[in-house]
Amino acid sequence: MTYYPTRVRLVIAWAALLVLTLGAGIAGKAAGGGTLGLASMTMLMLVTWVKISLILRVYLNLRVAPVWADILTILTGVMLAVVLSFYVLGASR
Amino acid sequence: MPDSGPDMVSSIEHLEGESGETLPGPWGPLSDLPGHPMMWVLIISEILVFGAGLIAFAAARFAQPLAFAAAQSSLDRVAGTINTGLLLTSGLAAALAVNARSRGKVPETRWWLLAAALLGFAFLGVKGVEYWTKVQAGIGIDTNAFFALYYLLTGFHALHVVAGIAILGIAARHPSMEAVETATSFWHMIDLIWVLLFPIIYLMR
Repeated sequence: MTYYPTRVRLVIAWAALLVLTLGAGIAGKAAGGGTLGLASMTMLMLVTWVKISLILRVYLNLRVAPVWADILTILTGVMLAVVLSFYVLGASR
Repeated sequence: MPDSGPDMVSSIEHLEGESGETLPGPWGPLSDLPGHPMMWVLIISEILVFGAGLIAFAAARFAQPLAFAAAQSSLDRVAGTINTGLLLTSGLAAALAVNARSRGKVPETRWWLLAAALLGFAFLGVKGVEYWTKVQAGIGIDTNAFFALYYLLTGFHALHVVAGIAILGIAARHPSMEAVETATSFWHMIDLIWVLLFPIIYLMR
């Protein structure tokens, strides 16, 4: 493994991030109205988490510091889980 | 620093003891991180600050669901999606600058840093149009809790974009490996925070 990500790896990560952005737009009904519902909201948070993980490991090159990659992935996952919890609480009222 | 192949060496190198064992670097566990460790202190702090802001946003939305839904419907989700694409592409340019610098290609490094900065300006342009449209409609920071948090979080992020463009400019002027790696780490942090902000502020409803 080389220390810095190769150009091919970077372009693949970028393409994956754009596809996931489209996926988030679909899950988040970016072009439509109405509420999302629990399934779409959960999918939106999951897609966001995957995107963050890609940015951390490839763009920020944290694959060379895997412990830090795990710490920051878990930290952002907890943040998204708290946000999702508020959404679930609001939806269940 | 040129690409070191299978033996990974960070720009903050680890020390070697008398018997050849690897000792912790001068920054302890932070020495493992790519780029300057102090930039990582900033990056982690920023993620925590914006994370707290987004949790506050979710809590405020829980307290005022109808007001938040009405206010959020006036946001331009397509502009937000375009801005996500712009920042992700600028992130690619920034990462390619590090790749070019690791191969000793200084002019190519500068071109990629310039491309990242130009895409940052494009992001600010789209954001500016969004703000202008809101202001023309009489929507300001004091309109309601939603827009107070909207302007606070996205405005604070936009200021980071401005700072990031300046830091990319400094790295382009003085393109040492550490400067390029540290500047682009800051830029990727801006990218990461937008990826967190966009779905929660624009799409969650």
